[in-house]
Amino acid sequence: MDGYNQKNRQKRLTVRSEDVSKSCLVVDDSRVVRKVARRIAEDMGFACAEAENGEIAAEACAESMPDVILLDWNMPKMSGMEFLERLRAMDNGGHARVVLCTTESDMDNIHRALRAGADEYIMKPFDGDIVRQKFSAVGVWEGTA
Amino acid sequence: MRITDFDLYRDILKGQMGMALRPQQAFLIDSRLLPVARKWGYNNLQTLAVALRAMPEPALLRDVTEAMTDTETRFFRDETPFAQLRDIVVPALLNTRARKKRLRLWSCGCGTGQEAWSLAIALKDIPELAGWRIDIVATDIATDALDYAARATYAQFEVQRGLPIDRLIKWFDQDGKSWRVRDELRRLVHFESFNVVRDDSADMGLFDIVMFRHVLDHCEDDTKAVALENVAAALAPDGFMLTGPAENPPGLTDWLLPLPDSDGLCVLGDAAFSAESA
Repeated sequence: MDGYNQKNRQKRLTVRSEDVSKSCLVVDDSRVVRKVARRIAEDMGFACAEAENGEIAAEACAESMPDVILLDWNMPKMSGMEFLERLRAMDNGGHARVVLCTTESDMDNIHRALRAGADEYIMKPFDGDIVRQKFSAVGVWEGTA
Repeated sequence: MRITDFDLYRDILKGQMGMALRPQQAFLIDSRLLPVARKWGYNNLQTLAVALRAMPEPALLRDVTEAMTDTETRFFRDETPFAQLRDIVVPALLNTRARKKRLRLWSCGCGTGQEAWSLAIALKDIPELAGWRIDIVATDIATDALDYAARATYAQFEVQRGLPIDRLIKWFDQDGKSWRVRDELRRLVHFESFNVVRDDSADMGLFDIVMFRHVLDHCEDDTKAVALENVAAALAPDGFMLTGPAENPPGLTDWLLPLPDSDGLCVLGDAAFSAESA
């Protein structure tokens, strides 16, 4: 990894605010989606980090387990499902609430994600209202949706 | 818009449904009534106003009223009333209705139906109510919204507003990008038109639970009490009404008695019983 990417990766994995009580990891291979989701979560008071695939997300969780993970399904290197299975096998891997956020909206896929340990499910496209409601539903946020 | 036209629409809405139209809402008239004007063959709101003054046909008045009605809602809106239903209302009715094992509910001002389906889901998910007969009457003034509600089919974006994923996959069938309420719930709910200011609730029969939320927010002060008492008259003597916290302020009516610290949950007050025996 060159210096530029190393620096940017570190920036993405570093939470922006030090004085918030809960942390959120946004995992998506789309930079735009990560940016939008991060903005929503930060407005809700979360300290956010980003990962562009499941492999980087797993490293981030091994280092510091977030309170909630907003997780895409289809990503290069390691998919959301592979990551979810690895996460739930980690020490303390049950701590993080996982909200799938994906274009995969078939009932079969929803069942599969829930069986793998997802706590909630967002079908893209999404907005702040939906994220707030889902974070409230999994018990990591108590504001008004 | 001319001030006299604003006054015309304000008077129509108050007369038809007790709805308050404030000057800062004038922009709503433009956006919501232009389609009505065009449907009736009028080029703009000025000619619609002329028509309303000259020959206010009931069908035109109904279209104007419905277009100005706020039917936006969501599943399990506000959460609090559904927690009250589960923790206070249903436990009480499990005792008082133990012999009949039947509950009648009224979702008054149901908009596009999410509240009625939420009630059905909430009650079906209470194990103690297994085997009970549940009937939900859902009403609104807006017939377009009622038609939509009765189709019981919602877009992906709508089901994600307030509906947890486990309840979505339990109570809905997927049809492409749409989600359709399962027959088991559809059998519990029927939709009909009702105007809380003009229609008599005596025709509705008695209900054990009435949800009457986000309706009076839009009403003129002098019609709030009339509407509340009309709806309360359909409440069984030991039934419960769930209103919005700000919709039944102290002093508005003696017909409803808010339970202490209950955020809008009411039972019938003495005045209701006096009125019934009078």
